[in-house]
Amino acid sequence: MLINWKLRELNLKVVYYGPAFSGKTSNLIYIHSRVDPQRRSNLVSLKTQEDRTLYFDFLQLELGKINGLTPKIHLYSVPGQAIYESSRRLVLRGADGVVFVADSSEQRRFDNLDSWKRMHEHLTSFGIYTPRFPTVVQFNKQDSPDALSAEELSVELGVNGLPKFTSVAPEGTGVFETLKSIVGSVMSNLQRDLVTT
Amino acid sequence: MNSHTNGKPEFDYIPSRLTISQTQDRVIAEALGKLKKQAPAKLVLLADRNGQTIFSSEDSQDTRLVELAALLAGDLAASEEMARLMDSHEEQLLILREGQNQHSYLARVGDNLVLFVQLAGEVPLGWSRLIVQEAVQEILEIVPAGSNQQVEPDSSMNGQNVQESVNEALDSLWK
Ligand SMILES: Nc1nc2c(ncn2[C@@H]2O[C@H](COP(=O)(O)OP(=O)(O)OP(=O)(O)O)[C@@H](O)[C@H]2O)c(=O)[nH]1
Ligand SMILES: [Mg+2]
Repeated sequence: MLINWKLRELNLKVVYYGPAFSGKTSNLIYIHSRVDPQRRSNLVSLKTQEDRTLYFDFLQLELGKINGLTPKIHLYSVPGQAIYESSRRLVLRGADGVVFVADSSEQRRFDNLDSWKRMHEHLTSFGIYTPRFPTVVQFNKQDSPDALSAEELSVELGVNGLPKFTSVAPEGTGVFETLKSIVGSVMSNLQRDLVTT
Repeated sequence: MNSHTNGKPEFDYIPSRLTISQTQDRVIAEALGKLKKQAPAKLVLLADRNGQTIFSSEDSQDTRLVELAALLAGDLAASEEMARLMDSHEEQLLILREGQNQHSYLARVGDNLVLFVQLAGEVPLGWSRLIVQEAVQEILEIVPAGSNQQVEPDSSMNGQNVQESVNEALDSLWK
């Protein structure tokens, strides 16, 4: 987070995290395709020849003023493949909030859990108290033939207290709702802080 | 100043936050403006470690520069991580890209910032390295390495349903 009082600008970082192939990049691609080009950057994708994320995807959105401050939202996605653990950690560092993109397919249940646990280990290592950290969960690939329901997935990951959305990212289902929720959580968290300090 | 002392403060997790005051903003602009002239540099850009721009000698609303800042931060983070893996972490890190027509420096500025300077090929490397290093020191004096937790109280966000405002602001971005 970077606050520039002269420009009255608020820069926030939101990271899409989750297991390999769960649809993190697809979220950013869809957001990029639907947002007014005047209000966003290009989508920067550092990827392999096979279109897997190699380091990160990046997209900036500029919101209209909220009570006199202009929020600029920096969206990142991490690389999900196992070998990129170090890069994943680097991209997560400095996040003001995370969207955890799970793959709803039953076959991927352990990958989700593993990724979820790792994410918390990283956040904790940055000195973050995770129960209070702005986190939104997305159950993507709901169109998979063996997709688990939101209820089953919530129990499995132990995320009952968090905002949750089901999605089919390439079609845009659930993508925008997820984005609104995480930006809202981050901003509410900030507001509480500015008001109570 | 805000006067919100009502109720018990609830200390939610606040991620590392860098606040740039009006004064800091002005002094940084002066220091980097001087660097740009002295070098002379084509482009000078200062960002935080997350790639959020603090100063740019060109229009910082230019989305090309927004993308550049994100990549520079990623570049420095990767370089530092490589150094850590090889047990060669150093406080000072200056990365030079030497080309025929131009070269550039990417410098670590304390724990929080990254400085990028792009120069024409004619500018001697020894000279440019020296003034980039000087600029790093100067910025560190303006934005001390440990200043990432300061919070300036501000009343601008009081008493509003934030989620509602965010929804409205995001709805208006959607085509
Ligand atoms: N059917 C279906 N396919 C999806 C869905 N979301 C993503 N995909 C597809 O799954 C593949 C992987 O999606 P990505 O968005 O690249 O996944 P990722 O999480 O960024 O993957 P990594 O970068 O390797 O971690 C692509 O072919 C997408 O089109 C979904 O909800 N339903
Ligand atoms: Mg990806």
